[in-house]
Formats: sequence, C-alpha cells, structure tokens
Amino acid sequence: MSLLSCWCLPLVLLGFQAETARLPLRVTIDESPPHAVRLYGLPAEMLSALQQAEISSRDWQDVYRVEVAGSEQAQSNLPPVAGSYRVEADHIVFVPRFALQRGQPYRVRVWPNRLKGAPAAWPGLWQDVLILPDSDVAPRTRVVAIYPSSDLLPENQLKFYIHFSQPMRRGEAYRHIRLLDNTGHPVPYPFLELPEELWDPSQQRFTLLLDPGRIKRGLKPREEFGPILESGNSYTLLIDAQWKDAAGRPLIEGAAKKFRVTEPDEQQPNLESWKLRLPRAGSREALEVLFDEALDHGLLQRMIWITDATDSPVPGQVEILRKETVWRFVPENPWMAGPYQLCVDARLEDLAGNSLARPFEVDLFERVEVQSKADVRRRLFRVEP
Amino acid sequence: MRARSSLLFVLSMLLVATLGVVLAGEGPEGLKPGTVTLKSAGPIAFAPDGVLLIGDPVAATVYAVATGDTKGDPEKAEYRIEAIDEKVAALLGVSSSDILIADVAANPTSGNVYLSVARGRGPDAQAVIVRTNPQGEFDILPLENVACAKAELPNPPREAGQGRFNQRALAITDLAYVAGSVIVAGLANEEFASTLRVLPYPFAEGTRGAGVEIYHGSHGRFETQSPIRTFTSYVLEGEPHILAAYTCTPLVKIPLKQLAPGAKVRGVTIAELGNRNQPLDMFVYSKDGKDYLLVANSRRGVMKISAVELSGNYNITQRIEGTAGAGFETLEGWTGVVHLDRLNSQCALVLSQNESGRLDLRSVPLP
Repeated sequence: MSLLSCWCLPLVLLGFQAETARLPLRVTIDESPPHAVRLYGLPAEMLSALQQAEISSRDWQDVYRVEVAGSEQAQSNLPPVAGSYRVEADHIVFVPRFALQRGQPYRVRVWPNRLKGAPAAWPGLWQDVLILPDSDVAPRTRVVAIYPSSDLLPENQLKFYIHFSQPMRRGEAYRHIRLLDNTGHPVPYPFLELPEELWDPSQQRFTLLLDPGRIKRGLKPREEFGPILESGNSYTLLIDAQWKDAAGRPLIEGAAKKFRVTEPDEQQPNLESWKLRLPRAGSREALEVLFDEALDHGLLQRMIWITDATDSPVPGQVEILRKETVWRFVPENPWMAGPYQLCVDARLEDLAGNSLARPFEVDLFERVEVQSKADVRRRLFRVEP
Repeated sequence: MRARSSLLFVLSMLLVATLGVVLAGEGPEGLKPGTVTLKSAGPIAFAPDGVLLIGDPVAATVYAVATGDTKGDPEKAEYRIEAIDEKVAALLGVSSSDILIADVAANPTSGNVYLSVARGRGPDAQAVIVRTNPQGEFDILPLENVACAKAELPNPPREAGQGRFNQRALAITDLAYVAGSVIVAGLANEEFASTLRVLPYPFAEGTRGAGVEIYHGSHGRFETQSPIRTFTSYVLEGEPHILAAYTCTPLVKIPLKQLAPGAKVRGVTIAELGNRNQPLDMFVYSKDGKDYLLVANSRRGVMKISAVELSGNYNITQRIEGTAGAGFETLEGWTGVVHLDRLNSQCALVLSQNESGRLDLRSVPLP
C-alpha cells in the first residue's frame, strides 16, 4: 500500500539526501475547472524518479492527499477527494475526479518523510488549506408563478406548480412550503412529501401534491384528520425566502398564494362541452378553446394539439390564458379552408385530478367505464374562408 | 503435412480459447461492453451475478451494470459507518449538504454496499454510484468500458410540435429484479397515477417494457390507481406475488403472473400502514423458520409483518376503523430509518438519520 513498496528506483542513490530538513513546500489551486491542486517544492531528482515510477492513486494518497476540510476529529475519518495524480517537471498535480467547488475549503496533507529516500529530518506531516473564493452569493432567483392561477379552488384540489426564474436546489423543498388556514395557522401535514421531489428537468418547476390520502374519500388519513381544504374557507400557500436555488443562494423574496375553497369537483372534463372560437382561412388568427372549468396547467402544455386534414400535427405556438380556462393556438402558417381536428390526450386533468379518461375516484357501485379505448379524444372543426 | 495439421489444430484451439476469454470478458448474460452515462441516479437494486440495476429518472432509463464484485462472504459483512453522508461527500470533494443519497443496496454476492448519489443538488448534479465495504473504504463504481445494458422507459414528448412544452419528468420510486424481470415503479410530476413497468431481463435491444395499471379498493366504495412507493416479491401460498406499498399507505398484494403487459390488475389490499406516512423500503426475510416482511416508513418507524398475516385472507374493501388488515409490529429502536435492504441471512442494512442529522450506515440483526 505504501509508496515505498512500489518504487522501482532506489532514490537514496540519487544524491538529494544532502538536502536540508528545510523543505519549501507550497500548493496552488487552478483557477479553472477542474481546479487541479499542484504541489511544488520537492527536489527535482525526486520528481524525476517519481515520474518514472508507476504509482496508483491509492498509493499517492498515502503521501499527498486533498481532503474536504472538516473538523479535526472528523478529518481523520474522511476519505480523500477522488482523483488522479501526475508528475510534472517541477511539481505533482492532483486532478480531482469532479471539479472542486468554490467556497469550499480543502485541506492538502503531505507526508514528505514517507517518500522513499526522504532525509530523516524531513517533516512527518505538512499541510495547508486552500479555498477558491465564491464572490457570487447575492440572491437572484424568485418565484415567477404559482398554478393554478385562480383564487377559487375546489376542495379536492390535487396539486400546485411553483415556477422559479432560475434552477433550484433539490432536497429541501418541503421545509420551505406551508399551507396556512384563514386564522394564519399552518394546516398540519397537507402535502405528499416525496423524497425524490417532483421537478421538471431544468429544476425550475416544482410539482407540489396535496396528500391524496386526505383527498380521496374513505382513506384512513382523511377519516382521521379530515380533508386538507374545506369548502367556504380561505387558505394561503406560503413559500419562504430561505429556499435555495441551485447555486445555494436564497430567494430574493418569499411568495404567497391566497385562495378560497369551493365545493369538491367530481366531474370529468368533457371535450364536447368546450367552446371553440374559430379562425378564418388564409389568416394566422388564433384558435381559442374555452373550457368550462380550469384545467391542469402542466398537462395543458402538451396534451392538446391540432391536426390537419391529413392528420398531421399543425405546428404553432400555444398559450394558456384566463386562469387556465383558455387554450390559445397560433399556427406557424395560415389556416387552410377545410377540416381540422382538436386532439386531446385523455389523461388531461382538471384541478382535482379528474381526467377525460376517468374521474379521480372511481365509484365501485356506479362504475364509470372508460368511455373510449383510444388514448386520444378528437373533435372535428372546420375553418371557413 | 501431419505436423502442419497439428499446428493448425493447436492454433485453432488457441483461437477458440482466446475467443472464449473475450466472450467471458463481456460479463453476465445479455450485457455488452460499453459506457454508462448517468443523467441521474435513483433507486438501485441487484440482479444475479453482481449486476447492479440503476434507475436513471431524468433519462427515464434503467441500466444493468456488471460490477465484477462477485467475491466475498456477505454472511460475514458487518457495517458501522457513522456520518456516511460526510464521507461520501468528502470522496466527491464537497460537503454533505451538497450531496443527496437516493438509495442504498447491498450486493448479495459480496456483502459490499452501493449508494446511489447525486453530487450537487441543481439540474447539473453529477450522478455517481459510490461503493463501500465493511472496512469502511470508499470508491466510485467505474461506468466506462463495463459490461452493461439498458432499457428505456417511455417518457416521450407528445406529438410533433408539442415536445418543447414537455416538462414531464419521471421519478422512479423503486425497482427490483423479480424472477427474470425488472419491475419499475414510477411517478410522473404531471400525471398523478403512474403505471408499473415490467421489463424482461436480460434487457433485449430496444426493451421498453409494458405498463400495468393496478387498482386497489381500500376505501369503501372507491377504488383508485395511485403510485407505488416501494415493493418486494414474495411467494404466498405457492404463488409468487408482488407486495406493494402505495404513497397513500395501503399495502397491496398482486399475483406476479397477472403483471402481463398492458394488463389492468386489481390488487388486494391487505393492510393500511397508517396516516401521515409513506412507506420507504421493504424486504422479506426468514428467521427461525418463519418469514417476515420488514417495511421502513417516513413517519411510522419500521414495521414487521409476519408471513402468516400476509397470507391471511384480508381484503380491505370496507372503510377502516382503527388498524384493520394484517397485523404489524412497530419495532422499537429502529428510528430515523431512511433506507433499508437485506444484507445477509442475519442482518438488515440500515441507513438512518441520527440525532445530529447525519446519516449512519449499520448492519442490524434481523428482528
């Protein structure tokens, strides 16, 4: 394991034994990633011999290691930072496996007397602490939207989407969100706290589920603690400013969403009852679909689309308007006169999780069978000149 | 001539022998040399022959990686690693607040322990599999030029023109190798109800698996399809079953043979694990000739349920008053458990949060 065992060259013969015990060691850290750590000050002959030896990372760590700086007690038990070593003409480079982090102190420990042929007077341990300054610590992220945007929500509201202006940090979401009742007291355990946390891939949108155990009827949590939201009452969803973004900075400010609760919604969205505001052929006017209730903001982004007479998707821009009750579509190219189809993925849900395919709760005695085997519901419309 | 034939024979045998070595070098069945680039590291579990299954939720992919870690005596493995989160973080060059440990799995062939880790907490976090052993040594599992295979889970953007709006992400909540299949439970961030996927193993080229919808009727008149949080397999009355615990607390049994592609299955609810709670991990073990299920929960500690109870003819379809269904014992002293796995025939492997908030890894005698 020791560096001694794997050296092929007898360094004692190389003549640097005459060096004094004064060993002018110093370390530097590269400004650019991966922030290699360079150890200077060993005699050239020794470096030259090391260059020719084959030494594993594990053996290197016995004489030169970079560690995350911790307390003295913890330090002895911490493994060194993973990485590889290389000998240059006048120094030894440690290249970390992952780029070192700004603002994190690193301790470099060197045991010169473990090097083969080291003079007896060389120190047993030499150490230094390095840190890459992190000047960029001012808050710059804020909550930009909370959906649903309506301030009237059904008693069986299923989820919220919280949008941020920059990527956020995973693993602490539930500490920073509270639901307050109309007296300002926190509602106990309102959320389904998933260890994985539900983020979009950019970590700018967080999905917050209310505990379905207290939404679904007949489940034990609801039987014991009642529903989370009660019709007629007002609530505030509160996000505190201590929630950190991906760079570790707190938010510029907290955010609050106040809403009043109405009767539970057990109706499925119905494509046939939606109103269409049709464009004219030859124009790039918007097609507007007006729902009879607010639908899920996240799903609306991708679960409705238009196909033309050849059943090809029509490219264009989608906007969700009027508190998620309007889906607006502007085509890239002018509309042609003739038939089009409004296509809706049957998994599209309203605020209470009722989808076109099925209600959130299926009643065993009044069983609602899935209306169609198809995953996609279609409604024909014509664009006239 | 004869000499030449002999030489050719020897050469051809050498060639065969060499090829044999090369083929053996490809590792366990169905795996080919390659490099695995993880976008994220979620739940992990072991398949036979020291093959590690890694769930990558961001890529919506499950990887099978030959660890080559097939020697050792798991029965002798013991663990007592305090503040393992600090140690793993130190190995990766950061402080413990900059990593997340998504899962822990014990290699049943060697007794070594694997941790699925995110280095960093932002969208550019690096996914790493860290390995440790009873001596408390740590290293990073190499994923370059290893025998591997993958299965992609369907998470496609909708029709053309809609893809740019797709913010849907998949959280893989659990995965396991069960009798020739890899079963994956997941939860999407947009649709509440997600399907269980069954992937034939070894993964064939282009394997995507098929979803199974599982309903359970634990709430009086209402039945539901909801996400599975954790599951394990167990033979009940001679028939292999999946025991699955849901995010809203029911423990459900489902005959394995019903998990056919595209099937809609009704599971039988055999217990309610309690309110304000989420099941985290579970496994089945034997002690003194009896089988038990061990379930770790977010707020309700670790529960032990005897196989006799599991086989009981429970089918909760009534509104529950008090603790109905299979009886369970909540174990004293098993506090702060965040992950649980079976280490060997005598011990469980427990990752738990201690009073100072640090994570300790310990082997604990099976209760």
